[in-house]
Amino acid sequence: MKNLKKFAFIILSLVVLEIVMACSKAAETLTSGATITADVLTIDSASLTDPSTEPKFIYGPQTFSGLKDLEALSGSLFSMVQGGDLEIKSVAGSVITNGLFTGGATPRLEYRIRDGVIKAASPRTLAMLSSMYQFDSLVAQIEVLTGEKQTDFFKSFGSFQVLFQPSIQVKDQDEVLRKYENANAAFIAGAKQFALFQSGRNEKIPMNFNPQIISHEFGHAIFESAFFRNKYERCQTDRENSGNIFNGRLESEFAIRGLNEGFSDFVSFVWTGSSHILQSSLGSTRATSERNFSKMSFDFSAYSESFDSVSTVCEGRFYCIGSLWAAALMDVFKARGLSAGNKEQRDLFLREIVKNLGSVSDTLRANEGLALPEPETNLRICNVRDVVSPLTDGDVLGAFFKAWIDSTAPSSRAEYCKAIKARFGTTGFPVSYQRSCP
Amino acid sequence: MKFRISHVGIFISFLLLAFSDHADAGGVGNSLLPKRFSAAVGYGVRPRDFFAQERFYQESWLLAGAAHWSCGFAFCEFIARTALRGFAGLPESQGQIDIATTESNVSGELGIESTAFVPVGVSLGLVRSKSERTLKTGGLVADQSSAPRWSEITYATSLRSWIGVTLFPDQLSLQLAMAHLFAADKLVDKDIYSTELRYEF
Repeated sequence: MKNLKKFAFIILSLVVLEIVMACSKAAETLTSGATITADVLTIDSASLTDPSTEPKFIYGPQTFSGLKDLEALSGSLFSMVQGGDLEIKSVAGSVITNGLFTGGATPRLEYRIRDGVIKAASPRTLAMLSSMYQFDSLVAQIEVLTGEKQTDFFKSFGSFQVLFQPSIQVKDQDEVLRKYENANAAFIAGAKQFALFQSGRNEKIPMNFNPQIISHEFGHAIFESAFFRNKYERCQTDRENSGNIFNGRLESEFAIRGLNEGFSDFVSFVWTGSSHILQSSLGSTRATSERNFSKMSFDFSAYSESFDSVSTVCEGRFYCIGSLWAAALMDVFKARGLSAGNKEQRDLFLREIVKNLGSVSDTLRANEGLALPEPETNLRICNVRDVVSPLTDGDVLGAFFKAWIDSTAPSSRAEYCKAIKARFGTTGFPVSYQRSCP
Repeated sequence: MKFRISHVGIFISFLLLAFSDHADAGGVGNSLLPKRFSAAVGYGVRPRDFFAQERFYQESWLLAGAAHWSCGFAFCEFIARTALRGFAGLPESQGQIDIATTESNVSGELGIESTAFVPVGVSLGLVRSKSERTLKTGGLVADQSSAPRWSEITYATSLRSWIGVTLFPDQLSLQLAMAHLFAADKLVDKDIYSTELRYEF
């Protein structure tokens, strides 16, 4: 019987060896330094024939250009952080104007590699990879979009963090509450961070990786770089805010916040080819229709003068100004015979706008803000208005538009004037500011 | 293929060991046959970190069959067991884009159990897990140049221990079991806790 035991021992040893080999069979891995390709959800821009319609989405392999570390989801200019606490002190639309982020961890990715392509094994990982693909592509194309070399843009901008599903801390008196925001994405001004929140139940394409939303948020970063000169300033109550220009004056203006949103919507159009920014995520609602700047049905006069507690023609507060501004830019785009389906033409036009933004910023800040109207008394003490004021906002918009017209090439002035007048009328572009129009 | 070979090998080895042990003790040829058999049904959970801030327990059901041999001492048995476990689906994403995962595993294990006071045992085994993932898009994605459905098979060795109470001697017992899977793969969830009802015959 001892022979049987020996025989059994030999077989068992072979079996154990086999099990170890089976278990240690290495899963497919990426070789160090290899380009990273992942199956992500993105937009099929070629499918768009009309910019006022929502785009179609595709699922398939896309190659990252700047992503170096897959496990950390980071490149030399950006990285993702998962979780953590985001304390929001003030917010304007999708721009967190005062926030503090703490904590967070390296993303926990769940994926497999099949034939060299990373496949997400969970919806969360699919969202992480898809959103980072958008940021990666935007960073790679920053020169195409802004006209500024990547090294120059990020020299002043610095690398940025993408905060994935942070919890929101809300301070209520002495108590700190924590909640999980749904259905949104945001740009954290000044800190140069992007926040991607959890998906809401009613979202179609989740906003946290919808290229239309991510490019909109990235538009805020470009606006901060070009118009706020890379230095988002907050209004400060502990000092006397005298004169026409002081810390946070432009950042706090209702009209400028609207122009920031409109510019970002236009960046989204340039990136995707669609002006229907929210439809693919939030479906067909009044709010999503108001943002579709290819199909505007109101002008500034109608918006600002039909005001009760909210405007009866547009409920989106300063977003309405933004949509009108984006519509005016679209009018000029079309008047030049440019094609919405042509990415090169969209990029070319955006570069002109970004360049103008910088010039307008310089003009408005020059000579102690001489070109600007006097700020409201409330703004001097940092009371930020959240409803439209036709006269005050008309003056701020007028100053902005005048500087805009002055900064454009003489051959373009007529088309810009025509578009701005059509969208803003004499309420949003008062006659006294139209002197530069031919 | 390796899995099949392994299981055949384990089975043959176990029979040879059982036979040789019994023969050493002066037994006869039919000692190859198990002393008895048992069948078990079970309910299990395993902890998972699924969402960024959420931990939950994924449920599973289990069907198992085992053969028992005397190990040569009173209140001691060798056990060879094969089990099939199916897992409940993972929670759905709140959005309409989701990746649904179904998973089941089969395991083969060899162990030893003492019934001196209460049934207590430990076993070593191999788990073969098959999972299938399906991208659900709710018709929102027009084109899929990559397959929206893919499956994978993973292996892990396991260590399982259990303790139970006898409800009816030599017939019915209730057991609490904990299995730990040894796998470097971070997608493999490592611990499963189960309650099993075992019927012996």
